[in-house]
Amino acid sequence: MRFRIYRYNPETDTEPRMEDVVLDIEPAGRMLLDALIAIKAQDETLSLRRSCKEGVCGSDAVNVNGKNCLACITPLSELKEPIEVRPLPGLPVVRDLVVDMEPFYRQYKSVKPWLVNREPEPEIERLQSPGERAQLDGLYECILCACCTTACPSWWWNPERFVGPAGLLQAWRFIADSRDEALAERLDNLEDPYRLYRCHGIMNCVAVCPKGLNPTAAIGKIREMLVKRRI
Amino acid sequence: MKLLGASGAGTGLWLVQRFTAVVLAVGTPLVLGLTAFHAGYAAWRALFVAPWAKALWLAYLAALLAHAWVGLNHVILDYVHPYGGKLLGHALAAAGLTGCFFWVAFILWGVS
Repeated sequence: MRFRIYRYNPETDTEPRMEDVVLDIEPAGRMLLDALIAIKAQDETLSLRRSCKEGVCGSDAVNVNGKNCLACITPLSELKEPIEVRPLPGLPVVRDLVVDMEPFYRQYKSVKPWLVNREPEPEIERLQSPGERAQLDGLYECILCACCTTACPSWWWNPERFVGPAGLLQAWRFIADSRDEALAERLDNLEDPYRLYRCHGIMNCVAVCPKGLNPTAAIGKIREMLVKRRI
Repeated sequence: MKLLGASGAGTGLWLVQRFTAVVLAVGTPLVLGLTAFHAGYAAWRALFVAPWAKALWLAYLAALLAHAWVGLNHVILDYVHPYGGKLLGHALAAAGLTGCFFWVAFILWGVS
Protein backbone atom coordinates (compact mmCIF):
# COMPACT_ATOMS: atom_id res chain seq x y z
CA MET A 1 0.00 0.00 0.00
CA ARG A 2 1.13 3.53 -0.72
CA PHE A 3 1.39 6.14 2.04
CA ARG A 4 2.39 9.79 2.21
CA ILE A 5 3.56 10.61 5.71
CA TYR A 6 4.16 14.08 7.13
CA ARG A 7 7.70 14.32 8.43
CA TYR A 8 9.19 17.14 10.42
CA ASN A 9 12.02 17.17 12.90
CA PRO A 10 12.48 20.74 14.15
CA GLU A 11 16.03 19.90 15.26
CA THR A 12 17.23 19.03 11.75
CA ASP A 13 14.58 20.16 9.20
CA THR A 14 13.99 23.72 8.10
CA GLU A 15 10.47 22.87 6.97
CA PRO A 16 8.07 19.91 6.92
CA ARG A 17 7.99 17.46 4.01
CA MET A 18 5.74 14.62 2.84
CA GLU A 19 7.51 11.25 2.63
CA ASP A 20 6.30 8.58 0.20
CA VAL A 21 6.31 5.10 1.70
CA VAL A 22 5.34 1.79 0.13
CA LEU A 23 4.41 -0.91 2.63
CA ASP A 24 3.74 -4.57 1.97
CA ILE A 25 0.65 -5.07 4.14
CA GLU A 26 -2.64 -6.89 3.69
CA PRO A 27 -5.36 -4.30 4.44
CA ALA A 28 -8.14 -6.76 5.31
CA GLY A 29 -8.79 -6.73 9.04
CA ARG A 30 -5.99 -4.25 9.74
CA MET A 31 -6.15 -0.72 11.03
CA LEU A 32 -4.13 2.32 10.02
CA LEU A 33 -2.16 2.14 13.27
CA ASP A 34 -0.94 -1.37 12.31
CA ALA A 35 0.48 0.16 9.12
CA LEU A 36 2.07 3.10 10.96
CA ILE A 37 3.71 0.73 13.45
CA ALA A 38 5.00 -1.37 10.53
CA ILE A 39 6.37 1.78 8.87
CA LYS A 40 8.04 2.75 12.14
CA ALA A 41 9.60 -0.72 12.28
CA GLN A 42 11.20 0.06 8.89
CA ASP A 43 12.21 3.59 9.88
CA GLU A 44 12.50 4.08 13.61
CA THR A 45 12.88 7.85 13.25
CA LEU A 46 9.12 8.19 12.60
CA SER A 47 7.45 9.65 15.68
CA LEU A 48 3.83 8.99 16.60
CA ARG A 49 1.74 8.58 19.74
CA ARG A 50 -0.24 5.41 20.46
CA SER A 51 -1.20 3.37 23.45
CA CYS A 52 -4.33 1.24 23.80
CA LYS A 53 -4.84 0.30 20.12
CA GLU A 54 -8.60 0.05 20.62
CA GLY A 55 -10.01 3.58 20.48
CA VAL A 56 -10.09 4.16 24.22
CA CYS A 57 -7.03 6.25 25.06
CA GLY A 58 -7.35 8.72 22.18
CA SER A 59 -3.60 9.21 21.85
CA ASP A 60 -3.21 8.25 18.16
CA ALA A 61 -5.46 10.93 16.64
CA VAL A 62 -4.11 11.97 13.23
CA ASN A 63 -5.36 13.61 10.07
CA VAL A 64 -5.85 10.98 7.36
CA ASN A 65 -6.73 11.95 3.79
CA GLY A 66 -7.92 15.30 5.17
CA LYS A 67 -10.09 13.97 7.98
CA ASN A 68 -9.20 13.61 11.66
CA CYS A 69 -9.52 10.11 13.07
CA LEU A 70 -8.03 7.61 15.50
CA ALA A 71 -5.48 5.52 13.59
CA CYS A 72 -6.23 2.44 15.71
CA ILE A 73 -9.91 2.16 14.70
CA THR A 74 -9.61 3.32 11.10
CA PRO A 75 -9.71 0.28 8.77
CA LEU A 76 -6.96 0.35 6.13
CA SER A 77 -9.37 -1.15 3.60
CA GLU A 78 -11.57 1.97 3.76
CA LEU A 79 -8.78 4.42 2.90
CA LYS A 80 -7.97 5.68 -0.57
CA GLU A 81 -4.33 5.41 -1.69
CA PRO A 82 -1.96 7.08 -1.37
CA ILE A 83 -2.98 7.34 2.28
CA GLU A 84 -1.90 10.79 3.40
CA VAL A 85 -1.19 10.93 7.13
CA ARG A 86 -0.62 14.27 8.81
CA PRO A 87 -0.56 15.50 12.40
CA LEU A 88 -3.75 17.02 13.83
CA PRO A 89 -4.25 20.48 12.28
CA GLY A 90 -4.14 23.67 14.32
CA LEU A 91 -1.69 22.46 16.97
CA PRO A 92 2.09 23.02 17.03
CA VAL A 93 4.01 20.00 15.70
CA VAL A 94 6.54 18.59 18.14
CA ARG A 95 7.84 16.05 15.62
CA ASP A 96 6.31 14.12 12.67
CA LEU A 97 2.80 13.06 13.78
CA VAL A 98 3.22 14.21 17.39
CA VAL A 99 1.57 17.52 18.26
CA ASP A 100 1.75 19.74 21.33
CA MET A 101 -1.67 19.27 22.99
CA GLU A 102 -1.13 22.08 25.51
CA PRO A 103 -3.44 24.67 23.81
CA PHE A 104 -6.20 22.01 23.71
CA TYR A 105 -5.77 21.02 27.37
CA ARG A 106 -5.60 24.67 28.45
CA GLN A 107 -9.08 25.33 27.04
CA TYR A 108 -10.36 22.05 28.47
CA LYS A 109 -9.07 23.05 31.91
CA SER A 110 -10.72 26.48 31.59
CA VAL A 111 -14.22 24.96 31.83
CA LYS A 112 -13.32 23.43 35.23
CA PRO A 113 -14.00 19.84 34.20
CA TRP A 114 -14.66 18.55 37.68
CA LEU A 115 -17.68 18.28 39.97
CA VAL A 116 -18.29 21.31 42.20
CA ASN A 117 -20.40 20.34 45.20
CA ARG A 118 -20.22 22.26 48.45
CA GLU A 119 -22.33 19.82 50.48
CA PRO A 120 -20.50 17.71 53.07
CA GLU A 121 -19.02 14.63 51.47
CA PRO A 122 -21.36 11.64 51.81
CA GLU A 123 -20.14 8.45 53.41
CA ILE A 124 -20.22 6.43 50.19
CA GLU A 125 -21.18 8.41 47.06
CA ARG A 126 -23.38 11.20 45.69
CA LEU A 127 -26.40 9.37 44.34
CA GLN A 128 -28.23 10.07 41.08
CA SER A 129 -31.53 8.74 39.79
CA PRO A 130 -31.32 6.66 36.59
CA GLY A 131 -32.86 9.63 34.75
CA GLU A 132 -30.25 12.06 36.08
CA ARG A 133 -27.49 9.62 35.16
CA ALA A 134 -28.92 9.28 31.66
CA GLN A 135 -28.36 13.02 31.14
CA LEU A 136 -24.64 12.28 30.99
CA ASP A 137 -24.92 9.77 28.15
CA GLY A 138 -23.27 11.08 25.00
CA LEU A 139 -21.06 13.33 27.13
CA TYR A 140 -19.00 11.21 29.52
CA GLU A 141 -17.73 9.03 26.66
CA CYS A 142 -15.40 11.76 25.36
CA ILE A 143 -11.79 10.52 25.39
CA LEU A 144 -10.20 13.94 24.74
CA CYS A 145 -8.49 12.80 21.55
CA ALA A 146 -8.85 16.38 20.14
CA CYS A 147 -10.16 15.15 16.76
CA CYS A 148 -13.16 17.48 17.05
CA THR A 149 -11.44 20.61 18.32
CA THR A 150 -8.63 20.43 15.77
CA ALA A 151 -11.17 19.95 12.94
CA CYS A 152 -13.00 23.13 13.91
CA PRO A 153 -12.26 26.23 11.77
CA SER A 154 -13.34 28.50 14.64
CA TRP A 155 -10.64 26.87 16.77
CA TRP A 156 -8.04 27.36 14.02
CA TRP A 157 -8.92 31.06 13.88
CA ASN A 158 -9.09 31.72 17.66
CA PRO A 159 -7.40 28.89 19.60
CA GLU A 160 -6.50 31.21 22.48
CA ARG A 161 -10.06 32.39 23.04
CA PHE A 162 -12.57 29.84 21.69
CA VAL A 163 -13.00 26.90 24.08
CA GLY A 164 -13.55 24.49 21.18
CA PRO A 165 -15.99 21.61 20.79
CA ALA A 166 -14.33 19.15 23.19
CA GLY A 167 -14.08 21.71 25.99
CA LEU A 168 -17.67 22.84 25.45
CA LEU A 169 -18.95 19.25 25.40
CA GLN A 170 -17.24 18.79 28.76
CA ALA A 171 -18.65 22.09 30.02
CA TRP A 172 -22.15 20.81 29.24
CA ARG A 173 -21.30 17.44 30.83
CA PHE A 174 -20.82 19.21 34.19
CA ILE A 175 -23.70 21.67 33.69
CA ALA A 176 -25.98 18.68 33.04
CA ASP A 177 -24.71 16.75 36.07
CA SER A 178 -27.36 16.75 38.83
CA ARG A 179 -24.62 16.59 41.50
CA ASP A 180 -22.91 19.79 40.32
CA GLU A 181 -23.76 23.05 42.11
CA ALA A 182 -21.81 25.56 40.02
CA LEU A 183 -24.31 26.15 37.22
CA ALA A 184 -24.28 29.97 37.46
CA GLU A 185 -20.47 30.15 37.59
CA ARG A 186 -20.19 27.73 34.65
CA LEU A 187 -22.59 29.82 32.55
CA ASP A 188 -20.76 33.03 33.55
CA ASN A 189 -17.52 31.39 32.42
CA LEU A 190 -18.95 30.78 28.93
CA GLU A 191 -20.97 33.97 28.39
CA ASP A 192 -18.57 35.48 25.90
CA PRO A 193 -18.48 36.26 22.15
CA TYR A 194 -15.32 34.16 21.86
CA ARG A 195 -15.45 31.36 24.43
CA LEU A 196 -18.82 29.97 23.27
CA TYR A 197 -20.23 32.09 20.47
CA ARG A 198 -17.42 31.46 17.98
CA CYS A 199 -19.24 28.20 17.23
CA HIS A 200 -20.99 28.71 13.89
CA GLY A 201 -22.50 25.23 13.72
CA ILE A 202 -20.07 24.05 11.02
CA MET A 203 -20.33 20.57 12.60
CA ASN A 204 -16.89 19.28 11.57
CA CYS A 205 -16.70 18.16 15.21
CA VAL A 206 -19.68 15.86 14.78
CA ALA A 207 -18.36 14.52 11.47
CA VAL A 208 -15.01 13.44 12.92
CA CYS A 209 -15.77 12.35 16.50
CA PRO A 210 -14.54 8.74 16.72
CA LYS A 211 -16.96 8.07 19.58
CA GLY A 212 -19.98 9.38 17.66
CA LEU A 213 -20.61 12.25 20.08
CA ASN A 214 -22.31 15.53 19.19
CA PRO A 215 -20.51 18.62 20.55
CA THR A 216 -22.69 20.93 18.41
CA ALA A 217 -25.80 19.72 20.25
CA ALA A 218 -24.07 20.24 23.61
CA ILE A 219 -23.12 23.79 22.58
CA GLY A 220 -26.75 24.38 21.57
CA LYS A 221 -27.91 23.26 25.02
CA ILE A 222 -25.49 25.63 26.76
CA ARG A 223 -26.74 28.45 24.52
CA GLU A 224 -30.32 27.53 25.35
CA MET A 225 -29.53 27.87 29.07
CA LEU A 226 -27.84 31.23 28.52
CA VAL A 227 -30.90 32.45 26.61
CA LYS A 228 -33.27 31.18 29.32
CA ARG A 229 -31.20 32.99 31.91
CA ARG A 230 -31.32 36.16 29.88
CA ILE A 231 -35.04 36.38 29.04
CA MET B 1 -0.75 33.19 26.73
CA LYS B 2 -3.06 33.48 29.74
CA LEU B 3 -6.76 32.98 29.13
CA LEU B 4 -8.66 36.24 29.25
CA GLY B 5 -11.84 34.81 30.79
CA ALA B 6 -15.42 35.56 29.80
CA SER B 7 -16.64 39.07 29.05
CA GLY B 8 -20.23 38.45 30.17
CA ALA B 9 -21.64 39.32 26.72
CA GLY B 10 -22.61 37.36 23.65
CA THR B 11 -26.11 36.05 24.26
CA GLY B 12 -27.65 39.44 23.48
CA LEU B 13 -26.02 39.54 20.04
CA TRP B 14 -27.10 35.96 19.39
CA LEU B 15 -30.70 36.87 20.27
CA VAL B 16 -30.57 39.92 17.98
CA GLN B 17 -29.32 37.68 15.16
CA ARG B 18 -32.13 35.13 15.65
CA PHE B 19 -34.90 37.70 16.13
CA THR B 20 -33.89 39.73 13.07
CA ALA B 21 -33.56 36.50 11.07
CA VAL B 22 -37.24 35.78 11.75
CA VAL B 23 -38.19 39.34 10.75
CA LEU B 24 -36.18 39.00 7.52
CA ALA B 25 -37.60 35.54 6.77
CA VAL B 26 -41.12 36.96 6.97
CA GLY B 27 -40.37 40.44 5.61
CA THR B 28 -38.11 39.73 2.63
CA PRO B 29 -40.65 37.71 0.57
CA LEU B 30 -43.22 40.45 1.33
CA VAL B 31 -40.82 43.19 0.21
CA LEU B 32 -39.89 41.28 -2.96
CA GLY B 33 -43.54 40.53 -3.69
CA LEU B 34 -44.68 44.11 -3.11
CA THR B 35 -41.97 45.68 -5.22
CA ALA B 36 -42.35 43.10 -8.01
CA PHE B 37 -46.11 43.59 -8.38
CA HIS B 38 -46.16 47.39 -8.09
CA ALA B 39 -44.83 48.60 -11.43
CA GLY B 40 -44.62 52.30 -12.26
CA TYR B 41 -43.94 55.44 -10.24
CA ALA B 42 -47.45 55.94 -8.86
CA ALA B 43 -47.68 52.37 -7.56
CA TRP B 44 -44.22 52.55 -5.97
CA ARG B 45 -45.01 55.92 -4.41
CA ALA B 46 -48.16 54.42 -2.85
CA LEU B 47 -45.96 51.86 -1.11
CA PHE B 48 -43.96 54.53 0.72
CA VAL B 49 -46.17 57.55 1.19
CA ALA B 50 -48.25 56.68 4.28
CA PRO B 51 -46.53 57.40 7.63
CA TRP B 52 -47.25 53.86 8.88
CA ALA B 53 -45.69 52.47 5.66
CA LYS B 54 -42.59 54.58 6.27
CA ALA B 55 -42.41 53.23 9.84
CA LEU B 56 -42.73 49.62 8.62
CA TRP B 57 -40.04 50.12 5.97
CA LEU B 58 -37.74 51.61 8.59
CA ALA B 59 -38.43 48.73 11.00
CA TYR B 60 -37.60 46.22 8.25
CA LEU B 61 -34.45 48.17 7.43
CA ALA B 62 -33.44 48.28 11.10
CA ALA B 63 -33.80 44.48 11.30
CA LEU B 64 -31.74 44.06 8.12
CA LEU B 65 -28.98 46.37 9.36
CA ALA B 66 -28.92 44.81 12.85
CA HIS B 67 -28.59 41.37 11.21
CA ALA B 68 -25.80 42.70 9.01
CA TRP B 69 -24.09 44.16 12.11
CA VAL B 70 -24.06 40.76 13.84
CA GLY B 71 -22.74 39.14 10.65
CA LEU B 72 -19.95 41.70 10.24
CA ASN B 73 -19.16 41.37 13.94
CA HIS B 74 -18.71 37.61 13.42
CA VAL B 75 -16.40 38.18 10.46
CA ILE B 76 -14.31 40.70 12.42
CA LEU B 77 -14.05 38.49 15.53
CA ASP B 78 -13.18 35.43 13.44
CA TYR B 79 -10.59 36.89 11.10
CA VAL B 80 -9.24 40.18 12.45
CA HIS B 81 -6.87 39.56 15.33
CA PRO B 82 -5.02 42.82 16.13
CA TYR B 83 -7.05 44.94 18.57
CA GLY B 84 -6.59 48.06 16.47
CA GLY B 85 -7.92 46.24 13.42
CA LYS B 86 -10.94 45.03 15.37
CA LEU B 87 -11.73 48.51 16.63
CA LEU B 88 -11.33 49.94 13.14
CA GLY B 89 -13.49 47.18 11.65
CA HIS B 90 -16.25 47.76 14.19
CA ALA B 91 -16.10 51.51 13.74
CA LEU B 92 -16.29 51.24 9.93
CA ALA B 93 -19.15 48.72 10.10
CA ALA B 94 -21.09 50.84 12.61
CA ALA B 95 -20.55 54.03 10.61
CA GLY B 96 -21.49 52.34 7.31
CA LEU B 97 -24.64 50.68 8.62
CA THR B 98 -25.80 53.77 10.56
CA GLY B 99 -25.13 55.85 7.45
CA CYS B 100 -27.28 53.44 5.39
CA PHE B 101 -30.11 53.78 7.92
CA PHE B 102 -30.17 57.58 7.84
CA TRP B 103 -29.73 57.66 4.06
CA VAL B 104 -32.81 55.45 3.60
CA ALA B 105 -34.75 57.42 6.24
CA PHE B 106 -33.90 60.64 4.37
CA ILE B 107 -35.12 59.14 1.06
CA LEU B 108 -38.29 57.76 2.67
CA TRP B 109 -39.21 61.09 4.24
CA GLY B 110 -38.71 62.69 0.84
CA VAL B 111 -41.65 60.68 -0.56
CA SER B 112 -44.79 62.75 -0.20
